[in-house]
Amino acid sequence: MKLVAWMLLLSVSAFTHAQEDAQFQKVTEYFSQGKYNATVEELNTIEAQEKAKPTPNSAVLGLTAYWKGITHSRLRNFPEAIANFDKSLGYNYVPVDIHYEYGQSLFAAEKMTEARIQFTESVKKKHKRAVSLYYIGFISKEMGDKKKAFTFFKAIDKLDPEEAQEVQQASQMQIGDIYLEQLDNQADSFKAVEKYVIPQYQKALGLGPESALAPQIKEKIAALQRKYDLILFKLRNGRPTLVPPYFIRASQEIGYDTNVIFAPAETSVSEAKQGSGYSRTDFIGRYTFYLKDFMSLAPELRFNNTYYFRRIPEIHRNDNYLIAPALRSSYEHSFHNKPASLLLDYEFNQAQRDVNARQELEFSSRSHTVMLGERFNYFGFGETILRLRHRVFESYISTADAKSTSLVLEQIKSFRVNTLLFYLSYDRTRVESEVFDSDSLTLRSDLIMGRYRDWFTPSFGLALISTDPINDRENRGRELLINPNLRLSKTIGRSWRGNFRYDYQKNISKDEANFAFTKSTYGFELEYLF
Amino acid sequence: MHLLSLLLFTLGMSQTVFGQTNVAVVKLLRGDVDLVTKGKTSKLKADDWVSNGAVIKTAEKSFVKLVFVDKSQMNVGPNSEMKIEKFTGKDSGVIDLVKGKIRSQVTKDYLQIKDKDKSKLFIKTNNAVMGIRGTDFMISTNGASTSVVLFEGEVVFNKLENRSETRTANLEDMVDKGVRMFPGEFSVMEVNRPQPTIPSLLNIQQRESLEKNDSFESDRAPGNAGKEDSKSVVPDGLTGKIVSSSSEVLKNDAKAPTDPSNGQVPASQDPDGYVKGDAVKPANGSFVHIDSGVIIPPGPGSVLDSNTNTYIPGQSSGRVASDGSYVPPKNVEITFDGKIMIAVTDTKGNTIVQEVERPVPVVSVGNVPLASVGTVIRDNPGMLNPKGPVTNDILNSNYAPSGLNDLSNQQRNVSGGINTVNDAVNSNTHTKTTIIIQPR
Repeated sequence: MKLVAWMLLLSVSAFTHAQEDAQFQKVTEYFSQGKYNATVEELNTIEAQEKAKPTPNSAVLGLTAYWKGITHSRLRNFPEAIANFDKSLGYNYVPVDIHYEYGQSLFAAEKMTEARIQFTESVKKKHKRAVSLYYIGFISKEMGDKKKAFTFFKAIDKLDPEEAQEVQQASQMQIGDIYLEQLDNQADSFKAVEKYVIPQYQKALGLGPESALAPQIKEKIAALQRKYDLILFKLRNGRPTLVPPYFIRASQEIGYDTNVIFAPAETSVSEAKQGSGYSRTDFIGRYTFYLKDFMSLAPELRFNNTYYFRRIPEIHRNDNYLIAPALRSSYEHSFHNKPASLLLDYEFNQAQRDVNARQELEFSSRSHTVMLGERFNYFGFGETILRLRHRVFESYISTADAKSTSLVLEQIKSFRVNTLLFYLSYDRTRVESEVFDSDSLTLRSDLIMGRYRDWFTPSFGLALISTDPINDRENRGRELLINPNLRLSKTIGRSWRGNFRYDYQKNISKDEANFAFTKSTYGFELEYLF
Repeated sequence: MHLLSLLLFTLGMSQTVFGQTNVAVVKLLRGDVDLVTKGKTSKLKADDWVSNGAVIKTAEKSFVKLVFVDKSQMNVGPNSEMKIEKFTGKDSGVIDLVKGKIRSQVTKDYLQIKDKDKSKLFIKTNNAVMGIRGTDFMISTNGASTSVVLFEGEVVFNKLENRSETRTANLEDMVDKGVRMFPGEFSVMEVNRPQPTIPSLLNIQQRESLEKNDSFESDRAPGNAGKEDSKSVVPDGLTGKIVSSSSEVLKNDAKAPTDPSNGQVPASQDPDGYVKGDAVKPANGSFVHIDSGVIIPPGPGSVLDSNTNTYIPGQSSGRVASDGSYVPPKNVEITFDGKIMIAVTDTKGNTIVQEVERPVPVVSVGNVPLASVGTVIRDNPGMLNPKGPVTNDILNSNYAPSGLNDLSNQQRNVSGGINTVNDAVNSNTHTKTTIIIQPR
């Protein structure tokens, strides 16, 4: 009887096992076909059958729960997935990837602390270590634990390069994010951004310049550069610093002057009354150093050379070059709660000219100029610059040596597209030969227009200079120089610019023989901005 | 089964006495179904016979199940019109689907054709032709685009140049030059495209739901899917492919019991999808809006399921209803003719409805989730007041290179006071906005 009972039991057991195998086979088939709802249904049946047994097999229940967890996570049913992974661990069914899968479901369900624990377990089990470390770092970062996040992102570097490779670029980017979050609110954060954050992003970018993530990293770098150009590289009064800090421009102009005027000493004019083509080369370079956040110092060098094509003495005696180094400084402060700068500049200027019409460039003049000024925004529509300028002029003719003092007012008015510039100056010039002493008033206005039909930028200007030759009024009377001008600029690419300019001058003087003249200048200039 | 077949065939053939060859019998019918024979319309009832040349028209929520003389089943879905052009029993059959959907289980024994590479049945639509060499599939057309989902067996699918073509040899030539589909794959022949999309694996939940719903029951309730708004498992910086894990335990056990591709390499192996000239391979795991043939890629935050080689869509990509239809995210609607309409509230509080371009159906880090397009429009008011024309590149392509990166290249439409997408669609007051979604 006992034997029969055992045989029956064995038969039932064998039948049960066979039935279970068939069911698992079905689950396998559904699962492999991605029929996840059917997979869950079948697993539920197996689980219910197993639980109904007097001694349920925990391995079967563990496998069933694990499998359900995997399937639910594919169905984005994360609460169910979590419950089943938890059950599987409860049955001590711990396949190597369960912590990773469980961690992902917890992550999706935004149970970050629990997710981090599971990913830590996954790292211990050496399953998808690099990605698991990334998850831990990312979760820590999300939870505000930047130190921990940094440690785990950094830990990825210590893995075998092959293992780390797939997440290394992203982890380096995350380290950049952490740097940025820590530095962004500091007072002088722009320095740290420049020194640490951007290089960190660049390091990440270097790991895969063409990767799917690369555009995101490039955008982060570009956004920082945009932001900190305007916000971080600020002086203490809020004025942005120049970006880049250097200004280098070289230009070459070819033009025609209808009436070449010889006026090297600024005391008299001598008309050639003949026209000539000319070539003018100009170079200017300036670099602005910022001394902390309240002062700037900018050494500058200018070189200019003019050569007339018509080689007759009346004209080639105007061939010249000049060298003009300068040192400009500013002290930044506030005025009416707006950025303002106290300006102090020194300029030196030496000109060589073919003064003796020998086709040799000889000493013509030198000058020292000191300017004290204030740049401020009082009217609210643009900056105002007020300057006091003093110049000491030394000529190749000693009687033409002069000293001049000027008071200058410049005003900028910005419109939506156009910009209007005003320039007003009063100049008091005292010459060694007193007959040339003069007081003059200059009024100039320039309108720089926005791009016309997306093609070129026009600007128009008009200057009026009224000169009072105080010791020679009888002969010269009050003189007036009228000087309208036009300039059309076309930017070519990032650095090139072509300019066409036209300049007309008419000086009205009582002494028509010596001081009155009319001339026009046409020129085409090609500029390169470095 | 053989007995039933014989009985059906005998009964069917007996009808030839009256001039027409009966080829199928109505086994199941729901709703309102018309039969048009020789210009005469009658209501179709269960057990009625249908002959060659007959046109079957189903009304909304209606459905008819036909069993053909070779035991093949053909379920005609709601709002459909189908003509049996040829079903002789001697040659391959030809069905013309004017509009709507057909779910068909074609018997392997049909015509006893031994050549596995020869089609047993052709289904034509306005712009596509499908050669059936296997068993279970669904075909749908809105009269312009045609989509096919294959559940079992094998079909070949291509663009149809001449709809009046009925010669099977010519149809065979056409489909031979087309795409070959394997189980689980879909392909769409979009209007104005030179070729159908390279077959890709359909979103697994949509496939499972469609496969179950062979009688076209309408049930827009959410399928047994997770919450649409749950967070993605993909952390920022990583891709769904990198975080994908193949179950160590299950990967050994859960292999496909049979190789469905018969040794051939399915085109759907590349899960990410690509666009190479005219060839468009959607990402595996894409949804298909069955009515219109619009393909919705899995979107950002999708994770690659290494078990099925398909992406599981991230949040905001939409969901699958119990009947297998694709349900777009809130504030997004896809019309029958394939327009994607987005409702967005502008900065003044007006609801604006805009048509957006179809997304590039590939997986990309830079993709904008469909549900977020409205937010993108709202946050970029320039899109509502665009300057400048849409570029020719965009106009000339269904899959414009993009990324919401050039907001000046947007066309707009503002229709103030419209509260719902459907109102706007019906009011015809909208125009088109180009949302450009850039693959990386």
